[in-house]
Amino acid sequence: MDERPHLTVIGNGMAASRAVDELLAHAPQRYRITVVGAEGQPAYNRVLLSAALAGDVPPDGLVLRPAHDLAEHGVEVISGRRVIAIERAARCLRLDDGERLHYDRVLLATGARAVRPDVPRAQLPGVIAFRTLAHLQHVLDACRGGGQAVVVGGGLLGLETAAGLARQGLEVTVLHAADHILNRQLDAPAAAVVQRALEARGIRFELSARCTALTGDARVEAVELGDGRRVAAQLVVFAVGISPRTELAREAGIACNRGVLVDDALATSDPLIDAIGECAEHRGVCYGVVAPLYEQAAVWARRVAGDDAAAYAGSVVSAQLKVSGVDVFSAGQIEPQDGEALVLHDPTAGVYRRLNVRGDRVVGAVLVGDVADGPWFQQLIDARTDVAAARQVLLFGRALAEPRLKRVEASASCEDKPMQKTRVVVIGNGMVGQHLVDTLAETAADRFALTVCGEESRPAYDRVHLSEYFGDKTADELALTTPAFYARHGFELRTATAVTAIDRAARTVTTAAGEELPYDKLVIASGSYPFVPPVPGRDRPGCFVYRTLDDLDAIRAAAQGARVGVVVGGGLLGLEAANALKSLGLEAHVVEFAPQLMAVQLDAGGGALLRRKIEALGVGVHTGRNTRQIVDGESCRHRMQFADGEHLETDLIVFSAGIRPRDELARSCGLEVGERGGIVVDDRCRTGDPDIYAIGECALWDGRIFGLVAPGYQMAKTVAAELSGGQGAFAGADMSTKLKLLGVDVGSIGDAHARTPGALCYTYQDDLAGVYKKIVVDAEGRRLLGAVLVGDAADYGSLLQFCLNGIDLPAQPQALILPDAGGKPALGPDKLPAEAQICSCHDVSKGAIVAAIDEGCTTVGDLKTCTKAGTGCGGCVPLVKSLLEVELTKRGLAVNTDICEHFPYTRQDLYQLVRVGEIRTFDALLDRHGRGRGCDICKPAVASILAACWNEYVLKPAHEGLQDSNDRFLANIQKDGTYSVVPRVPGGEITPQKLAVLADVAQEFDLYTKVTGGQRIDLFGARLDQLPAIWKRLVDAGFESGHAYAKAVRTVKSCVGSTWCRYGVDDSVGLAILLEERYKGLRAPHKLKFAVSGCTRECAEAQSKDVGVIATEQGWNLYLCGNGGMKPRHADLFATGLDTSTLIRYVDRFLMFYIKSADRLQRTSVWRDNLDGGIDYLRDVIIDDRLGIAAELEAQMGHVIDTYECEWKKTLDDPERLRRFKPFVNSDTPDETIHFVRERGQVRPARTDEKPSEVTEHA
Amino acid sequence: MPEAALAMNQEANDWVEVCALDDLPHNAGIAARVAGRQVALFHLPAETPAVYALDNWDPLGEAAVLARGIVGDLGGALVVASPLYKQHFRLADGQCLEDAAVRVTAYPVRVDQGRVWLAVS
Repeated sequence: MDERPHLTVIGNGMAASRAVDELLAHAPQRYRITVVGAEGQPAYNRVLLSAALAGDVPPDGLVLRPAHDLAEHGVEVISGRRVIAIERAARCLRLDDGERLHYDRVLLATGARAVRPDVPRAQLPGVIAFRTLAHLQHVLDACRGGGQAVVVGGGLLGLETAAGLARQGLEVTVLHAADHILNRQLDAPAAAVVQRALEARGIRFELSARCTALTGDARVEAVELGDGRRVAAQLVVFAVGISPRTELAREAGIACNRGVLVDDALATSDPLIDAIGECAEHRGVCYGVVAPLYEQAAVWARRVAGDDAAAYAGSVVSAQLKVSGVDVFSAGQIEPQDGEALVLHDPTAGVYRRLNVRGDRVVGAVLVGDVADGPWFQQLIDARTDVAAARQVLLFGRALAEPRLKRVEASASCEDKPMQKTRVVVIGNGMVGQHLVDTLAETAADRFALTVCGEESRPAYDRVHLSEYFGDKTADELALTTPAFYARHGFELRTATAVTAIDRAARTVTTAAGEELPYDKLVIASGSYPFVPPVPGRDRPGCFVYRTLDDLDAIRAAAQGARVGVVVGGGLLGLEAANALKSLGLEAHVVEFAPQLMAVQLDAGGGALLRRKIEALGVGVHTGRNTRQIVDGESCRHRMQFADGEHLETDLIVFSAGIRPRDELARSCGLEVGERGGIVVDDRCRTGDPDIYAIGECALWDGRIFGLVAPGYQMAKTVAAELSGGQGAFAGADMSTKLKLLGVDVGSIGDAHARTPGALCYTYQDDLAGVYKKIVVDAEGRRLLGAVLVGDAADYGSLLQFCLNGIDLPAQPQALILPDAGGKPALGPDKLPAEAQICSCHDVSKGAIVAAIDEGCTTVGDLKTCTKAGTGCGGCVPLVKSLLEVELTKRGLAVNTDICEHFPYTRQDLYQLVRVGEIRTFDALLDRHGRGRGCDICKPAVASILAACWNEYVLKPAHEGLQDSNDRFLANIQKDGTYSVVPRVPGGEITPQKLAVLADVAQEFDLYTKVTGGQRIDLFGARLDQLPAIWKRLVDAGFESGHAYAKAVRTVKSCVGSTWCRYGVDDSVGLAILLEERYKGLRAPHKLKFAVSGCTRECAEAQSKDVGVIATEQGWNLYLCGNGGMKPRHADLFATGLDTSTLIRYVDRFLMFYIKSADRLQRTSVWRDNLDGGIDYLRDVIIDDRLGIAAELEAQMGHVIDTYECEWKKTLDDPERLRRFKPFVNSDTPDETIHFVRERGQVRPARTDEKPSEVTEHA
Repeated sequence: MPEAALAMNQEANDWVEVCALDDLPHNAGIAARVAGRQVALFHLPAETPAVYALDNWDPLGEAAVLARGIVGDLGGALVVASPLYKQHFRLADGQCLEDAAVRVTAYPVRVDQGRVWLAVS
């Protein structure tokens, strides 16, 4: 006799079958199992019934598990018999043949029955509800004679049935009550796509139609519609829905509604009886598709196998089907009442996508055509993922959107069971406090009732980049958060709210306004205050600290009318403050008590070099100075008197002499603080009170205060983990730093002062170049302990990795800091361990980055979005990039250097193909070497190559469509669609007569007039249709195109030179004109700017140009590859003492070599940086002709020079071309959307709010 | 006529004759005035259909300039790149590829006996 508890399963459908399988998998021996199924066959896959009807699957292919297989597992299957009663008192099931089965536990999986509408003659032969395997045979028989069929119901099952019947050769009409088919799964546009596909298969549709009766005598003959029409049918299939089979449960007194009511444990009102599948009703929902039933089966099996924690939280229903080749997917809410719908509809391609978004969550998805991303969208819905970061690209699918999404933990199950939220109060809204809030928001926002009290009037901002407030950053741009962020996460931010007391017994904090805020957990992130040395006079007006935006506003105001500014403190922040004063136009000084600058981070040698560099920038450095008092000055407002008797006069003083932790709140509520301040915390950042944490600059860990942001962030993460129920661990932090101080690169790593016993130092010093480097290694010379870098911090990244990861040093460690002679041991990212920290700002490890690459990140941008690596100080970006390249290569993914999807070539390749193949048009190139039609990347690039090689008129019909708008209309497009006009003024030399012509033209056409940096005159605000008339005047007066619109040689700027200047050495204007006339209009990968200076005073700023020439007594000095702009770069001195003809030969070769080998939109400076061998290699090629191409380059340049034509002159001579400048192909009325207003006596584009209203409605 | 154009025709009621097909540059755009609006016409002789029409107003650059963009294809879809900030708009339906929420009106086009017609509803 089997002693095991007896589990009986009523029903042998898909849910029951899966439940048994799952239970056997979890606990094969635990129960004696009996399955009672009313149908006379083993469990089969009901979902595939219509596939079997269509002939795609043979009927016997539907069987899920043969009876003998279950028998082998000891499961008894009773089929063809029916349970007619559950006798709960006796714990017996009564079968239809009278047999009684004792049970210990019951699973109800009785499923559902097809609904038959209550219409006259619904019982006629030929009318069926398609539900069981028995029906299938019935339908197949009925199909044999062909004829007409009506399917009542345009839902999923109805359509599948209709498609199956059509495959069997029947003429099928689908009747559907709603106004579009699949109305439970799809919205109307998506349904229309499916309907069209089915109609193409010959299926007809009657929508908003009801079957009101059936007609016929012996058999069904027609279906009668509500409007009286009849549709002939020899077969009628009802597919209007199902109703749960609840009668057994109902009669046994078990609670039922539409279905048998079950809780999250899937138990009915009788604890011994569970229910799953179509017969069950969970949280008001009866499920009728397979996926949720299987989920229920899995949960049930885990529970009866002993896992009490298993719970069913409901399912998001999704549907995926393929009808007549059209893939359809839907999930979640199809047409919600609120929220917003993102829709992509391409009827041509048969693609439709709709995503329903509420707040930042996807709540529903409908996909037609391309459904590959369906399961992913479902995950987003299930996990309630915050999609704000990828909203713009969400419709374009997973490949684009996923890298942008942050992982947000699933919180799907929390909604219906609100947990008691933990009340967290954070004191301080600085960078560290905010980082804690951000971390909590990302991981577990809904578990906390969070209140943040910040003393400043603004939400948290980026204090690390505070000084940029004096540059181009606004307070908004420095902001780290917004009130909207708080609102979105249900957090509370109280700005301008100082906390005055903590009551640990009552667990409340009191604000300055007297309000008491209760907390369960309190986090003190009150930061620090600037230390002001107790010097008499420190309170005088004009004395400031450097800590908040308000401080900076005050400093800025005081700098008005001041001449001299002093910073007290020569540390990191002090030097930044000095830079800020300098940028405010003050004569800046730094006064430091210690004998050197940055005493904490640098050794004496590094400090000395830094001092020299900073002095060279015009900042006064006064080290070893102890300020005694501040009194009235004579030449300035204040006089600082030093202990050594010296003094310094200044109008403004900024104290930046270190920070002190703000620990007064902790002190006054009895928490332990350090001797020199700081709230004592343990490795979990807890204070002496387990409910109070302290993080950031106010916290004292292991006797240390961390004044950098990275350790603060790590503390914030630690506390976030603690609050979320885990255990955080703060293990101290690396205090290595790399920064640019007043333009000087400075790096400090680890034990910079070589204080470790036995430490050895290697030092490299180059006073000429202003470089100082030192590494500190252990006694064995195996490990790097620390480093100091001044003037050149390029090695910082790899040295830091050596130090942090304990990587074995090379045999000659000094090679790490010696100038690169080719043999520098490279520390590839490959050598780093997985836990190596790559980004210290956001604590991102190599492993995390590799994982992100595994998940599909393929660009540095992806990685930044995905991992945040490189988004702090940015210092690790080169390492991230090389790691990415190594990892992609490992995965067999070459880093794609193709110019675009149309050519599998780089720009350089294309140049060669054009040259060598003598290709003259884009179409010919595309035909031979490309695919598709081209795009706005490859077309202008090829146009430029063709122009550089063959120099044909750029507006020839074959080239016209390739040109950027600027080249196409030979002018520079401006923000409002008007153009600016820049005639060539070679060398910046212009006669009064020509100047008058420019003035006349500007006046006549009412053009805004401005002098450019390239010594020309720019005329703005010309409409497209005005360009020919303007140029007619200019060309008639002898002007030529200035090519300001092209990636081409622009200007050659010059100083007045020896002709007029007292100091001039040679005729710079003459050479400038010669060069400009020679190279004017030469098209190149990017714009090219030249300058010629007549002496070394360099008034033409030639060293900031692609080609710069400076006159010397010995001849011309040639500088190459400089530029201004976003990343300014000084040009390299290439050759000296040249005569004019040699100079021109070199420039010819240089330009053609650049055009041949540069990347698209790559300026000469970047090109040169990427040349293997750099400037020396360039000399080899251009001067020594190492590649043997010099003559060829000169000849190619000769061709371009010989074929020069003024593009505007040629255009004016060609009536066909001029037609392109008509405002409209069918009208000469000028563009009415262009509006100007007058400012300072000239026009400027009207802003939207200044335009007449009928125009703004376009936008 | 392709299916997309047919589908759109159902909504359109007024066909307006705009210009001769020969007036349109090849593989480039040109602006036209149609029923009080500015429309950008694109003639791609090798494509079927060969002529496309979008609203000329660039909603991102906020200027009437789309006719002056470069045409081409991206991922198989014909597009024009705004000359101001280079976002791509699909010629078939005006959808902006960089921002799912942005789309310009696409107008049905018919070429009949060498004349270009536009339907403006």
